[in-house]
Amino acid sequence: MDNKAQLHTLEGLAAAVLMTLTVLAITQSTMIVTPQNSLAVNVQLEQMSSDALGVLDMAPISLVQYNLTECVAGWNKTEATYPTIKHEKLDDALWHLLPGLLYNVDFAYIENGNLTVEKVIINGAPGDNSVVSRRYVTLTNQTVHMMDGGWSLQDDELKVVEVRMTAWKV
Amino acid sequence: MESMKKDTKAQWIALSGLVISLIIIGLAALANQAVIAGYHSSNAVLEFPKDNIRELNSHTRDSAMIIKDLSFEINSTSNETIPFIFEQLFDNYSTQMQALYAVHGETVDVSLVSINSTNGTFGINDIDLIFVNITYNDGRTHYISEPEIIEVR
Amino acid sequence: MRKLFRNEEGVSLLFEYILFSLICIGFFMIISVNADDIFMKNPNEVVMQDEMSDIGNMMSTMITDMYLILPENGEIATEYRIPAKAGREEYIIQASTDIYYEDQIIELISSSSGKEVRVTISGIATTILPIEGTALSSSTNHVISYDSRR
Repeated sequence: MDNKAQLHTLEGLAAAVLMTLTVLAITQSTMIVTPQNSLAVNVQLEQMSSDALGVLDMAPISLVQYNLTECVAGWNKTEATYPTIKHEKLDDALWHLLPGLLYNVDFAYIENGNLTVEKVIINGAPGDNSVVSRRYVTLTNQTVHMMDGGWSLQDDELKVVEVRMTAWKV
Repeated sequence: MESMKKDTKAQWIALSGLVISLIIIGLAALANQAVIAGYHSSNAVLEFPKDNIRELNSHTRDSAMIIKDLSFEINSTSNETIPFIFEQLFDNYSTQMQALYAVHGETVDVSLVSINSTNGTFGINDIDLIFVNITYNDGRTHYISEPEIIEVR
Repeated sequence: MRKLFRNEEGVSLLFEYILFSLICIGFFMIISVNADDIFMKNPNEVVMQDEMSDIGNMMSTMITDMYLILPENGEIATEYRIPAKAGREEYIIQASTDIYYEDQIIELISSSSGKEVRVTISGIATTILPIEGTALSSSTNHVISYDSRR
């Protein structure tokens, strides 16, 4: 019977136990699982999404097909349903500005003294680390008429609409 | 057992085991550091309402232009004065903004101080500056601009 | 008895025990003397360096962000929260008093160990925004404020 290298066997066992313990110790002692990464990613995400809305809001008409005010004014007031109905103009514009991201867009505005929030673009349920950025536009009957939108405003009425975008990485 | 005690080989293996365990301990320390790193700096960017305040400001600027145009339009069909119409529209704008910001737990106030014109009359080319007070408060950040001077020409 | 004295077989075993325990005792003494340094001070140092530069970066970020939205006539004040201790020590955040770096650097200094971390604020302070003041990490509230009318 070959009974050499007994110590090697034991040593192997001990090494295995040691390594397992170390790995356990490391994983246990890193209590919070990489929050810094998700936070840093969130910062980036927030920057990108608020920039996208900002670009769309501020861009001269010659640069983009429809800017944010026109997109909002041109909305036909039908709420989005997944996946068929959404605000095509706004979606087209955002799609190019936010490559690789998914987003939902809501419009919030005051109607007869009450807050109304309506879904305009739905791309699914937001993921774990999603960020919200918002931008405001002011509509008048003139802008609505120009874009053939579904808003019914008086000639002397202003409507402030909050464009609320929830963006997340897939 | 006797044969194990006499077997004194594999010193190198024992030594390398020690070295490897030291390296792993070092790595554990590094991994722990990486977890803490960058929490406060990222958090500060996320918490500070830079974009909200900026948007409140710039949107008020944009809206002042829109309100000015609209008030001249209304003026052509009614007999109210321009400042009167302007003020009413601005109040309306302010109420809507207040409500929309309040939804996010932020108190804002946008109030008109004065409409200034170069020669005292309120023609479409005369109104040049509008003074507006803007305040913003979300419980941690407090912002006051008194007055914010908006050029609307 | 004579035979026992003449027998020298067990000696190396005895020596091995003696040597081995000496080495062990030596090792143990060295470790126990340096344990505080190796296991507490060094990691503490590392954690402090890390945390203090993180908080320094936070201050720098906040000041830069505020600079971007400063009102022309008015004021802005923001509260921030920081941990009372970095590692095991309290620290002071202050705008640099160094004449050469005045208004350009935020310093974090631990009063007990004297550890110091410096973070730049991208030179914005030299233009319109002089930075001054100190904050102790353990005080109850911390505010950065700016008033254009003062």
